[in-house]
Order: sequence, then structure tokens, then C-alpha cells
Amino acid sequence: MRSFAHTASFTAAIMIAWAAFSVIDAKADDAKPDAMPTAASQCLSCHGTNGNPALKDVPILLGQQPLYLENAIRAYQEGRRTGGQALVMHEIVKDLSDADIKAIATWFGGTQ
Amino acid sequence: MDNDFITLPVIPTARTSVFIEPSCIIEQLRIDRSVNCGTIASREFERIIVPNQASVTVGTSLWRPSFYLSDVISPTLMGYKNNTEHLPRRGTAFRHVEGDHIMITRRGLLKGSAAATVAAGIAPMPWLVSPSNAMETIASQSPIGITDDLPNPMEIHSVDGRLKADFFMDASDYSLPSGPAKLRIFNASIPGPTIRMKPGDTLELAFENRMPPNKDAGEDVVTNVPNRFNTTNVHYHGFHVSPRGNSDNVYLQIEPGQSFNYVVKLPVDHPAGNYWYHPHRHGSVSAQVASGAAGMAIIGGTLDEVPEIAAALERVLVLQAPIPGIDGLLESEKPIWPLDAERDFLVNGQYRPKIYIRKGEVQHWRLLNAGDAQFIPLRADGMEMHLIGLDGNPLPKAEETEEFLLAPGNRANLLIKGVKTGTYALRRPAFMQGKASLPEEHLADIIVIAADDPRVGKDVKFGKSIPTGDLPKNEILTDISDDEVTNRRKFVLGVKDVSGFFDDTEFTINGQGFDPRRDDVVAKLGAVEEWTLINTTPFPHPLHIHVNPFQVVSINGEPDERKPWMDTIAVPAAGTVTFRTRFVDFTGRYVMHCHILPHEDTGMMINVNIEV
Repeated sequence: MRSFAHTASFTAAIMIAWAAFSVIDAKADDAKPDAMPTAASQCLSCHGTNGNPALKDVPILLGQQPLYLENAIRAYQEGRRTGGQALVMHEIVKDLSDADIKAIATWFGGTQ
Repeated sequence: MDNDFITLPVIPTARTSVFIEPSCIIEQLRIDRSVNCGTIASREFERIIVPNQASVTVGTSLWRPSFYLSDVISPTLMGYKNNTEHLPRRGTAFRHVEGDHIMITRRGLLKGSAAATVAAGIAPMPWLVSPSNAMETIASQSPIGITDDLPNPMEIHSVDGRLKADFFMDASDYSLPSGPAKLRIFNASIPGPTIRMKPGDTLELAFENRMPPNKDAGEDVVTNVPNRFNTTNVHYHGFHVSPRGNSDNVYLQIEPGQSFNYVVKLPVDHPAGNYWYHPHRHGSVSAQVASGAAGMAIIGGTLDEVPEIAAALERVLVLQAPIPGIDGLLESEKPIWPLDAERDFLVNGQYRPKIYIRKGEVQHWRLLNAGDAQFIPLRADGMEMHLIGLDGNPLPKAEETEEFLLAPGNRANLLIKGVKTGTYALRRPAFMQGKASLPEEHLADIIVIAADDPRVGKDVKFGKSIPTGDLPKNEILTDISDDEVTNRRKFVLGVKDVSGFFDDTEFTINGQGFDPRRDDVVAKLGAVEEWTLINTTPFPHPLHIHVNPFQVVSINGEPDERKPWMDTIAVPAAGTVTFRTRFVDFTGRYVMHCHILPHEDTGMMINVNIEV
């Protein structure tokens, strides 16, 4: 009995986890496909698609002031915010163009 | 000319290679590089043991000019096609010599001549029979002497500086909570025997791969796609030993039916502590460790000499969550891949065992997370717990704790005290491993019995105290100051989509998946480096570096004032770790990788090449 239950629940776990573990789980269709800029997709795996990041120490982006987000991204990009987790953000945003930064800031800031 | 040597004069060329037939033991080997009549360089090697089913190819220019004789050992070394053309040959001891002068002892030749017969299957392999004076065996038994108490795993101890043992990996039958299973494990046991040695000892492991042929043997290997689950090798996790030849060489591929003789020599100043061993052949690591192929290795000293710790009864607790195939032997990565797959955790191979401790007693637990993927935050509510070591190395002082984290590959020294009679749960609480939600796991029942329980013999150790002062340090592991650092590097942990790979996924370090032909880090022996690991994924990655341990500087930019020495550390999801390390004693190539082993098998690993 246990063996069967184990196998059945195990299979279910695989299916659920497979989706959760999807490498780039920040697919465009997870969020708002009509509005989200392509460059924003890489943000979602940590910052969440619904305004509630799954990671405890990752800030909420949705609803923030666009200008604040733009300035923050530039600070990470230029190394004015550095050390600790800022190093992670630097790696994420270092290749973004000005247009990408504005688009990301506008989209997250404009989404409630 | 030295009479102990036979000189084989050869034509000086840039290439030097010699084939040594199966089952040959060479006590000493010397290569002289000559120009005209003068010798310009000489190298000597001691005791090379040739695998019994494959010849050894030695050379100085097979894939890099600085290669030593003992570096190239069949079976194949992963990633170097040049080596495959020299695979097993039969006949006389030395089939082919060209290049520089090769000198081999007469004794070696005699052994070689005999070995040709051995290779034909006429005689047994002499070193597979362990002499009784090179190993002491301690049966698996309860340290407290109660019938249903959790036994420590069987132990094998070194004797007079040597530990000579026979190991094998096979597809063995094992009864898991989910039912009968066939698992790839060492010596048909979960966990494998505990190896116990002292600094300066030599481990001589005659290893045999008894697993069946690989079902995918006819297919091409794609690096970073799990493959050939029955090809293996042995890694000595945390050991500060040579990564070359038949020492801690994880590039070896030991195929089904092949044997290999490891000789792993510990330096006399090797840090004492808890280490372990497990397979490490890229592509099949996760499948084999997820099966349960692992065991503890203890190098004595340091903490053992603290009076309060020496007085305590000692337990070895190996935590594993073996995963069987859906129908027989595991042949797919799929059941291992999801971080939150349902697992039944075993402690020393038992499901929810009983662990006895007397009221007022302090026991010394050596804990190992030998799992392949899931973290274990560990609690024992109602007990008193004091951490005294991480990855085997002492903390500055005993730290009372309610919960501590064992990432895959981590070890801990714990002093645990029974405060009040009753039954308490050793458990992993439900927690988030990055974005993955993992359930609570009840690992064992801790039963606190009366101090004078008659089931416990009078001669059983009864520790009662926690050390209050500074704990001793492993002397060789001194703090690394700012001034000592000679170089700084950063490593970005990531992941990318690669169509056709397993789950279309490749894990990366600095944007690249593992390539056995590429040196990602080249440093000089004696260099001291500060590395920052930057995790761009929403899951923590426990990074492990071979051969040289590191001193943790900070996690997410927050300094760790304890400055612990470790060899495996979890880089937080979307977080960073900075550590410092010294490249000392050993040249050669080895690896740093994620110890969530499905991540390692799918690319999160780099080569580190330490040069003279």
C-alpha cells in the first residue's frame, strides 16, 4: 500500500515541481503578455509575477515609483550599489540598455 | 647507472609515452629528460599501482607539456580524446616506448611480467586481498548497547599508517520504506563503511565497479546531460590530498567491470574532522549519490582531544534520502530532478530509527548530509544542542543552537544533551529551499532514558559537560588576512535554456556549462585568493571546492565573525558568498561545483588548475 501511495504522490510531486523548478519560470505569459517588456521577464523568477516575491529578502517591485526603480537599476548597473545582494543585481542588469531600464521601471511601476 | 633500474634507451623526441600492462605494480619510476649526453631534468615517482583491467599510459605531452607520468591513468580521463587512443593493450609489460629515457625498477618489471598472466585471468589480483595488518574493522553496532538503538555504521580503521580496503559499487538490493529497491551503493550498504584515519595515513582502496553495462553505452555522451549511470569513480570529499593520478582524481571514469586502485595519502598536518566519500563521475553523480552511494570518513585529532568531547559517547549519523527507479534500477534523472520530490529520509540506512541518550548525558554526533539535493535544517526540540564544528573544522567556541543547516555535502559536529526523560523528534521542519517548498521530515526518535537505565553497561561512556572555553583549531588553517590575498575573482551562478538537454536546462558558472577540456581557473601553487560567488537564481546552491578548504568571509555581504573553515557552503538564493582559500601542497586539476548534484551533472561545475 505504501509503495503505491508513495509512487502516486511522488509522480504528482514531480509534475508540480517540474513547473515550479522551470529554469526560466519567468515566461512572458506568466505575467501580462500585452504590456510586459521582454527585458522584464528575467526579473520575475525572484521578484514574482504577482507582486509577492517567493524569496523573503527580495523586494516587491510592483507598484513602486518608476523613477525610483529607474534610479535603483542604474545604481546597480554603475556599481553605486555594491556588495552582498547588490552584486546579484549588478549581474542581472549590467547589460540593460537605457530603453530597457525605462521600460522595466515603467512597467513594474505602472502595475498595481 | 643505478643497478636498481633498467634503462630503456629511446629516441629523444618531444613525446614520451610508455604502456604498462594490467596488474603491474611499479615501486619506483624515473624519467630523465636528456639533451645529448646531459640530463636536464629528472622526475621520480613512487608506487604506481596499475588497474587490473586496463593498462596505464604515461606520458609527458599527451595533452599538456607539463604532464607528469602519474597523471594519465586508464580508464579514460574524461574529456581528453588523446588519451583514448592508448587504451588497454596486452602482451609484455612494456609495449611501446619512445621519447625520453624511461627507467623502471627490476622489481617493477618482474611484477609486470607476472601481471601479464594475471590479466589473462589465470591468477588472482594480489592487492585485492587486504592484509590483516592494514585495516581494523569495527562492526556496525549501537554505541550505547541497547538492542533497538540506532547502530553506528561499520567502521574500518587504519593500522600503522595504512588503511587498505576493498570497495565495490554494485546494484544492490535494499529495502526502502517505499518497498524493495535496487540501488547503486558501496559494498551493498547504506551508508558505506565509515573510514577512520589519522593525519599522515595512506588510504589504499581497491575499488571495483560491479555494476551492469550502461544501457546507453552505444550513445554519444553529451557533456552536461546525465548519462551512463553505471560508470563511476570515488571522490574523497574535503580531503586535502593530490587531485592527480590515482588519488582524488574525479576525471577518472571507471566503467562497469573495471577495477581501480586508489592510493590517497594524507599530509601529516591534514586537518582533523569529518569528511566523506562518494562517486564523482560527471553525468552519473546525482544518480549514484541519490541511490545512497556515500559514507563518512573521519580523520582523528583536534576536537577529539577536548576532554569534554573525548568523554562523550560518539555517534556517526549519515542522512540520506535514497531514490529508487520507478521499476528497478534508476535509469532516468527525472525522479531526482525536482527539488521538492517526496523523499524518505534515512539515518544510517534506517527509517525513523530510535536514538537513545541518558538524562544528563552529552553525546557527540558527527552528522553528514549525504543527500543529493535537499537541504536539512535540523531541530531536536526539547534537547539541548551545541554546535562545535562545521565541515569537520572546529568553531571558535561551542554554540548553543535550536536549529542549524546542513546543505548537501555539509557535516557538523554536535554536542547534544538529554535534559528530561521522554521521546523527542529529530526533524527537519518544513522550509523554503529558495522558491521550493519542502515538507517537514521526521528523521528519528530521540529517547531520553534515566541516567541509571539498567540496559546501559557501566563501562559505556557518560559525558556530562559542554566545553566552555575556546575550542582548539586545526593548526594549519590559520586566518587569511587581507594582506595575504594575491588575487580576487567572482563566479556568477546561473542557468540557461539549452534545447535538447535534460529538461532543456544547463546550469552555468560565469555563463558557461562545465567543459572538462577548459581550465576556468589557473593559479599558481602558493596563491591565496578571495572568491565571491554570486547566485542569480531563485534557489540556493551549495558550492563545494575540492582539495583546498576555504575560510568564509561573508554571506550576502554580512561578515561571518566566526570565520569558519568549510569546503561546502550554501550560496543563498539571489545572494552572495565570499570566501578565501590557499592553494597549497598540491598541483593539478580539480573542480568546484554545486552539491545539488543534478545541477552539477547538468553543468554547474568548473575546472581549477593549480600549476607549479
